[in-house]
Amino acid sequence: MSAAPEGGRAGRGFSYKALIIGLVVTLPLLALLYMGLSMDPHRMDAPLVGKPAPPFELHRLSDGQLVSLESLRGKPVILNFWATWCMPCRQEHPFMVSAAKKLGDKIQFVGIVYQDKNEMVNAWLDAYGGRGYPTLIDAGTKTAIAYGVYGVPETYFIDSQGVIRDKVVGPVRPDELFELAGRLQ
Amino acid sequence: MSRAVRLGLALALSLAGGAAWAQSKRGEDVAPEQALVLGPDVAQTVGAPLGPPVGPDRLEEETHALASRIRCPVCQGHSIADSPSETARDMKSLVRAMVAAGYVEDQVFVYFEARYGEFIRLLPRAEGFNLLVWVIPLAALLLGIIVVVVFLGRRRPSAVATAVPSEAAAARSRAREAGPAEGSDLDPWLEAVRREVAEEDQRQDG
Repeated sequence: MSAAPEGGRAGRGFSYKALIIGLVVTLPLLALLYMGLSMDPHRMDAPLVGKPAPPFELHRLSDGQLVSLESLRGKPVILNFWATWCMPCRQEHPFMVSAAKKLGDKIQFVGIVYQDKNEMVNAWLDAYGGRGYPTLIDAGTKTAIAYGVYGVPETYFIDSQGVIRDKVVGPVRPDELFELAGRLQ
Repeated sequence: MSRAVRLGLALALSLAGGAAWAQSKRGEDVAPEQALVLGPDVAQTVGAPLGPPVGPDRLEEETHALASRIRCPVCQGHSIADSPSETARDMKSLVRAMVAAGYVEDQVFVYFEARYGEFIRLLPRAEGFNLLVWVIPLAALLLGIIVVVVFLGRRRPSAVATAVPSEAAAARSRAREAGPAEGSDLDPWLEAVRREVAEEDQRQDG
């Protein structure tokens, strides 16, 4: 006959000690797994939101004149990074142009072209929605890096004090643009 | 100039021209990679360089050492030193300009982290929650060692237990070969066996 249970051992196949050790090891791992699964893998860090927008001084596509962020101060700015080789930009651009027409007296729209060539940009603008607002050329991608651009399109919402209030990665939806633009005013 | 040198020169020129043409076809500005131009906000973000300017003799080596620890934001797990993308090339060019100007490692990382977050570090900093990345493998290793030690410790007594009977069997075998030993500890036991055998014989005879 077997002896009576001894030292927390409730039976031949079950041990409280093993259960506790198992829980101590597996529960933290499960908690980490849960944290990882509950995160949005598409969400990118945006450390500049709430901070002053990095300054820039870039050539305007239309006439080569230098345009700085400083010169736009006093009015909220919607800054859209885009490129001719970016497919979502083709859908986004006509809407951005029409939004600039509606909101242009209150908000300054600016496009910054990312890794592109002037002649291709001109042809693209003619084909996909026209020139509703200034387009600036970011040679060497320094301004895009300064804004922490991951890819195009990306849009920054800058208030009249020059502080970045929001950032949208990917094409901006119409309702999203009007909502975020409303927060700037 | 020998024919081989002329051929080599022509090949190098055509490769360089081909790369520039390919970039031009993709619609990218063909900018010289070596241009040492700082970003518009570098000094505003990290202040003045804390180190001396780095000359051309050490510039590539130090740039590569830093660039290999900065994540390419448009790639899958590549550093900007390894990625062939234009974004990585432009970021590496900025790192080169910062190193040349005398910005030290911490300043370079602070600049890129201020733009992209800690994501930009290929090796997360060993502090706070990130410590788990270092602690969990070590803890798992220690736990494994403890489990192995405990497991072997439990096995040893049973190994001894199996060894003891075999030693006892060998001793019995030696004793059988040597015959009954007079005056040994087995005498009472042998006497009892002999008595039982004699009693059994008497019963059978009777």
